[in-house]
Amino acid sequence: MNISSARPDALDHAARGFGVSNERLHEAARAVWRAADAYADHCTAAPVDLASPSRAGAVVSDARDLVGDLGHLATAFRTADSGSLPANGGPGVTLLTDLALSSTILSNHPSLGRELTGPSLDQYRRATALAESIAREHLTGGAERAMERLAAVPDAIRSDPIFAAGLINALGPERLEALAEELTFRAVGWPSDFGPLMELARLWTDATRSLDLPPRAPRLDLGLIDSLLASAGGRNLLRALTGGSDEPAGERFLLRTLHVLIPAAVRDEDLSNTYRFLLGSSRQGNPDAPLLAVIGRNPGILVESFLRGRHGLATVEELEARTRTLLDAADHASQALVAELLAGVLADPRIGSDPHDRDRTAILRTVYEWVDDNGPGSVAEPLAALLAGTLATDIDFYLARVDTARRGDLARVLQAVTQFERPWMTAILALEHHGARLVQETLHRPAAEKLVALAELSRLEDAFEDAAEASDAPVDRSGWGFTAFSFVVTTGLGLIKLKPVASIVARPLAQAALDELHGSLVGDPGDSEAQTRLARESLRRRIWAVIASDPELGRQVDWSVGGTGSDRHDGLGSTINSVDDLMELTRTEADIDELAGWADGQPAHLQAMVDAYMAGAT
Amino acid sequence: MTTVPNGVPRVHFDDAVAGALAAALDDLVDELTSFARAAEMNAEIAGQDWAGYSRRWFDQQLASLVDQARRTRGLAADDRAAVERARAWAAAEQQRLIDEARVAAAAAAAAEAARPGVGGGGSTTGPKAPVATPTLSFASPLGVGS
Repeated sequence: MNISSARPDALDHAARGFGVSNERLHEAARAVWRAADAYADHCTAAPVDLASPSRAGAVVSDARDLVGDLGHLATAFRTADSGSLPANGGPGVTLLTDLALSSTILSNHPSLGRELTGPSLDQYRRATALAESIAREHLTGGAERAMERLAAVPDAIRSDPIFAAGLINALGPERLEALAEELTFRAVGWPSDFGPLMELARLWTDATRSLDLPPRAPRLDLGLIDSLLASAGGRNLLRALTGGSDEPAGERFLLRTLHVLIPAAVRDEDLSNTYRFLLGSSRQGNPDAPLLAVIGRNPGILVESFLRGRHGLATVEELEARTRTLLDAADHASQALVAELLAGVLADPRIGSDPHDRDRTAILRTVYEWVDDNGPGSVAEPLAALLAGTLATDIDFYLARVDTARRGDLARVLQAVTQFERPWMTAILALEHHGARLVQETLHRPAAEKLVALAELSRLEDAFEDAAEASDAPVDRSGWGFTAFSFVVTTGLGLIKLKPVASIVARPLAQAALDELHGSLVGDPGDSEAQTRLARESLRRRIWAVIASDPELGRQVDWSVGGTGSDRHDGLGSTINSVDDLMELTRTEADIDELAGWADGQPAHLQAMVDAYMAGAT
Repeated sequence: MTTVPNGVPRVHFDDAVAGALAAALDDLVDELTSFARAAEMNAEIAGQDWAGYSRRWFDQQLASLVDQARRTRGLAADDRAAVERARAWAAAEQQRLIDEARVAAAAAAAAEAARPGVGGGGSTTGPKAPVATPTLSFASPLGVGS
C-alpha cells in the first residue's frame, strides 16, 4: 500500500507565496495589456503583434490554479482518514495511504485534477479483475468460497465506493442475484446474519455510495440498478442487500429506488431464498422491515423520493398514485411511517402551502378518500393526527365538503380523528383557532356578515360533534401524557424512533394551547359528545377575547364586573380583569358560569355582537 | 519628438506611447524572472516531507509552470525588441517624408526661379520656400522626452 505524506501547513505557506508573486505578475501583465491597447490606438503606422501578454495571462491563470490546488491538497491531507497509520510522521507531518488521499480528493475536492484521483481509478480497475476471479470461484467452489476472495481484500480497499462499484458492475446483475440466492439459503434471516451475505450486502451499500461522488468518478452502473428494479426477484435482491447491510446506502441510490421498493414487498412475494430472508428468522415478519429500517435512519430520504418525478417534481397523478399505494400497502404499524412521510411531504416547500394548490389538494383528497373507502377503523393514531393537523392547515378543504353529497364521507374522516385523544384535541383547537380568526376578520363588518361568519364552520363543527358521538369510545386515560408525540415503527428488530408527527402537523397551533386543553380535559370523564359541546361553548369566550383585544372595541369592555378583586365571592365575573384572564378560563362549568356573569355586565352592543356570532354558529 | 513641418505628411505613430509599451514589457520580463525564482523557492517550502503521488503531480505542474514562465519571458523580450524596431522605423519614415518634402520644395523653388521673367534669367538667388530644419527627438524608453 503506497503512502503519501506532507506538511499541510507548508503547503498552505507555499500557496500563499505563489499567490503573492502571481499577483505581481498579473499586475505586470495587465500593464502590458493597457500599454498595448494604447499602442494599437496611437501607433497604427507600425502595428506589432505581441505574443507575450496572452502567454503571461496563461501563466497567471495556471499559477492561480496551482495556488488553489495546493490549498485543497493541504485540506485533503488534513481531513483524510489516516486509518491505522500514525497520526503524523513527525511534528506537522501527515501520513496516509494514497487511496485515502485520493478518495478524499474525489469526494470533497472536485476541482482537483483527475491525476490526483489516480489511486481511486486504479482501484476500479483492480476491482474489475477481482470480479473475474470471484465469478470463476463461484462457478467452481460456490458462493461462500467466492466471497472468501472478497474477504481477503483489505478493509480500506473493500469499503472504497469506487472499488465496490467496480466489483459490482463487473459481476453484473445475474451473478449478483445468483450469489445472493445461494448465500440467503444458508442465512438465518434478516437482520441476524453476519456471514458472507453481510459481506455482499456491505459491498453493495458501499457501491451505492459511489453514486453520491462527483460525476467524474467511476460509479455503480445505473443500468444494473434499473434492470434489478424491473423484476420482482431483482427488487427483492435490492431490499435484501440494502436492508441487510449495516453500512449506510447512498442517498442518490435510495432516491432512485425507494418509491418503487417501499412498502410493497408483499406484492413481490416469491419462493426465492432472498424473499425468505426478508421475512426474518421467523419467516413470518414484514418483508418491508429491512428497508423500513434503512428509512428509519433517514426519513427525509423518503420524502425526497416521494416527491421526485421523472422530470423534477412528480406529477399530480403520480402523487395521487403514490399516496394511495403507500396507504394500501401499509399495515397498522407502518401507517406511522406513511403518516410521517405524508406530513413531511405536505410541509415540503415544493408542495404549495396554499390550500388550493393542486398537488396539496391531490394528496389530501387521496388520504380523505382512502379513509372513506376503508373506514375509520383502519386509521391508526398517526394517520388520525395527520388528518387533524390538516384540519388546522387546510380547513377550506374540509369546509368544501360540508353540506354536500359527500357529507357522509366527511363524517367517516372526522370519526377517524375523534377516535384518538390527541388528534381529537388538535382538531378542536383547529376549529377554535379558525373560529377566532373569522371573528377577528369580521369584527368591524356589518352585523349581517357577523351572522354568517361562523355558519359554515358551525356546520363543520356539527359534523365533528356527530362524528365524536358516533365514535364515542371510552377514552383510554392511560394514553394521556406526551408519549403520544413519539411514534415508533416496529420492524421486527426493534423500535425505530421517528420524528413526532404531531409536532409537524400541529405546528400552526400553539403548543401551550394544546397543553391547556389537555389540562382542562383531564379529570372530566364525560363522553366525547359532551367534551365537544364544552369545547364549542368556549367559542363564546374566544369571541369575547377577540373583542377585548381589538384596539377600538377593547376600550369599551368593562373590566370591573362583579367587583375588581379576584375573589369569586365578589360576584360572578369578578375574576375576569384582563384578556389574559379571559384566555385562562377553563372548560369547567364553574368557569362557564363566571364568563356568563362577566358577559352580562358588558355593554349591550358588545353582547349583541357576540350573540350575532353565536347565532350564526349554532 | 520629431517636429514635422507644415505640409509634410505625418506618420501615425506616437513614440511616447510606444515607449510606455516598451517599458511595460521590460517590467513584465523582470516579473517573469522573479516569478520563476519565487516558484522554485515556494516549491522548496511545500516540498518538506512531501512524498507520494501528489508530490510527483506537483513537481510536474511546477516544472511546466516554470518552463512556461521562462518561455514567456523570452517572448516578452522579443516583443520589446519588436516595439523598439517599430519606433526606429517610424522615426526613419517620418524623417524620410520630411526629406522628400524638402527636396520637393527645393525643386519647386528652382523651377520657379528658372522661369523666364522671373528672378533675372535663371538666377538661383531668388526667394526660397520656407523649409524648417528637421529636428528628430525620441522619447526615452521610460516615456520621458529627451
